[in-house]
Amino acid sequence: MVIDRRHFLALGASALASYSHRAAAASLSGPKQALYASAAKLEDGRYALVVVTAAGDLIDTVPLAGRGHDVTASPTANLAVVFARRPGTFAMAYDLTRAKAPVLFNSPEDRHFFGHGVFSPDGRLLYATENDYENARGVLGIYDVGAGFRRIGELDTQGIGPHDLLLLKDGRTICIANGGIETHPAAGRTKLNLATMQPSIVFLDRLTGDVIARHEAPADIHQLSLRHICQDATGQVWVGGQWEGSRDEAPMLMAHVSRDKPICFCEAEPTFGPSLNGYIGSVTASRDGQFIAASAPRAGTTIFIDASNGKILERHRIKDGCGVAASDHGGFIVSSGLGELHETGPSGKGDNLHKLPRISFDNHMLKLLTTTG
Amino acid sequence: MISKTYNVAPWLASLLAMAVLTSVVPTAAYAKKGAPAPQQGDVPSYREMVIAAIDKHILPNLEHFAQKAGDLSSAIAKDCLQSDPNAASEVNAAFADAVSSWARVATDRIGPARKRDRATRISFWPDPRGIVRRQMRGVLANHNEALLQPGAMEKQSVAIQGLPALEMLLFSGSSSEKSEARKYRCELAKAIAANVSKQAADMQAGWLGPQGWRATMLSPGPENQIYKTEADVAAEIVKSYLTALQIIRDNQVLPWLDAVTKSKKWARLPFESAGLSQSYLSNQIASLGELHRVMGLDAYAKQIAAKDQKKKWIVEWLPNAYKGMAQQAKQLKLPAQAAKEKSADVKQKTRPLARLKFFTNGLRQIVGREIVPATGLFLGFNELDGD
Repeated sequence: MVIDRRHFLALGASALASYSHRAAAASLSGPKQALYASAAKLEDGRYALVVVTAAGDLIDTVPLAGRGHDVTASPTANLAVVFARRPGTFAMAYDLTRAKAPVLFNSPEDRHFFGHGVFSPDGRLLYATENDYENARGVLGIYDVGAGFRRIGELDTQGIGPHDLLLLKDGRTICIANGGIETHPAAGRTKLNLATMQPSIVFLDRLTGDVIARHEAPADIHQLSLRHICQDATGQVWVGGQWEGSRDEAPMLMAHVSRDKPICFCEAEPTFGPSLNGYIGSVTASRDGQFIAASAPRAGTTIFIDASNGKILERHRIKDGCGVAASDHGGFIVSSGLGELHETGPSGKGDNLHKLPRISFDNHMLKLLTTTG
Repeated sequence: MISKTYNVAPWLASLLAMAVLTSVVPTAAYAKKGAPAPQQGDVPSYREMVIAAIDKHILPNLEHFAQKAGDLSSAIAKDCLQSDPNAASEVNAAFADAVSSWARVATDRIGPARKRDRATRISFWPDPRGIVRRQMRGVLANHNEALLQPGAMEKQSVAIQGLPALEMLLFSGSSSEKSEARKYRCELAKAIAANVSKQAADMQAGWLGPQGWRATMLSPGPENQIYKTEADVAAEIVKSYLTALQIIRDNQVLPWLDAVTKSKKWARLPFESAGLSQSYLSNQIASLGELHRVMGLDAYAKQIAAKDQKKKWIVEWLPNAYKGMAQQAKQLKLPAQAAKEKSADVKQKTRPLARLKFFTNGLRQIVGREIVPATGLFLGFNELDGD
């Protein structure tokens, strides 16, 4: 099925009433059609935000000023925001109905984005992980959505190199993965503190900035940058890490944590970390929150975990697969740098492959909504 | 990520036009000793590429550096109490040799270089927030004798363990410094130089032997934790090459260009205080050219040209790019020197840097988008891509 812009506009006008970040589907009647957003590189080398269906239909392509990273969506409005990849300074708010032109906004001069953000439950504020690079300090920039994304303040993330973040189900606590890696725009993307990095998972009260809990990686694996997080059905946070030490010494890369419980690593054979080349690129929970998908693009592998017990259920070979999002069928959509969309999951929860020519999907894919198809 | 059917795009046309505009003399004599000399139309296998990269590039350069690091340590042990710390001396010459040699090793970000942060211990750079200077000031102020004990340096902050810390000791002293302070500075230099020498030896040892990284790279397979196929290994080396090009452009050429354009005296270049930034860059360029040559990437360029006449120019452009970069690097002046020059012609001042930027961009584009697909290797994310 080819969905043209008019169809998309119709979708937007009629059915985009309810969706949420990495969320369960909106409650809509009739046959359903999920839409997914991802930063991407086009064949001519330009970067864009693309919106696609799980069936591989390209719905929209919106040019970006540079390479984008993750996308977040408002829980109350037809709005998604894509952030620049570090050390980029631009972000773009995109109106899913296309009724309004995209809004571009930037981090302040002495900050840059780390590529991830999350809206407040009422959709009025946007929180973005940022680098206060002169002070090697992570912050959450706070942007007023209604005021054209004016930056109105910031919170200290209590760590270096904050990357992914999410809002807990209480609507007030933000969980932040402080990757621990110091970077500075004057040094490009070079990692500056690998010998001393100390990643952490911090639970922050978004209203007061108070630290509710802070959990650090064990000292012997302090080079495991804790970067990507998602929540399962119980609200437990799952963490995917990126090993900055020697590849043959990579530890377990997947863990879970909560406000009251320290970081607990999944159990697997000692070769697990090296076999995934020490790198998890993205994590997400299935629609029902029972399963976790974690992509390891450097190893061309995506793994699936049972969230109830932390067992690694299956490993699927997906070349350069990195973006992961929940599918409508209980499994996942995995996007790749080769322009492929794999519908897959544990125990045969979907097994479809669609290829979009001339598109390289970037690290993350966000399920925007489910609507009538 | 880019398909093999990628058409002749504007970036290629732009490179071709620039190649004509730049005054690089084409040379057919580029392939010198050490090259695998593939026959016309023949290309090296992945295994041949890997063996050549290790045995003709990585290990010889590492051996040379280990020797120069040892020489530096000996020179400092013999004569670190120079009468004038800023005067030319055997120590300064040994430091310059070690830095030049390190430049040829620093481009290979593989295996033992990353283990135990050895590369960072040898050279904590880039350092945009001036951590080496800050920490070394503290060390010099505290005169902590415990740091001077054998093996103690390796347990300290990596910022004070390596060549940039040594550079500060050797090139920012004052002849009016009190003798006690000079003595401590000297002992600290000995300790740091000994540590650099040890790290170099450890890095070298990490490649050798039945458990070494060379053996690991030459025995890919299901039982190998790191490399499953010959292609995995070759891809790792090509990725390292492309990453080094990116670092040279982002952390050396661009800051240097910015500083000269704005008449800044300082660009936080590697070994800028010692006046060795130009030499460092020249050696890195030579190292990358050597790696390119021994891996036989030019044979793939010829193969591309044989299949597509429109891309024939790539065959000559590649060696000319290295030659051009070497020529431009020779003309570089440190930002402090450039700022002193009266000439108001900024374009003239920045021309070598602008050309270096062009060449580094061009090499990344051509190797990444043309040569790599022709080899059949798949690179995916590189070291700097992780996010």
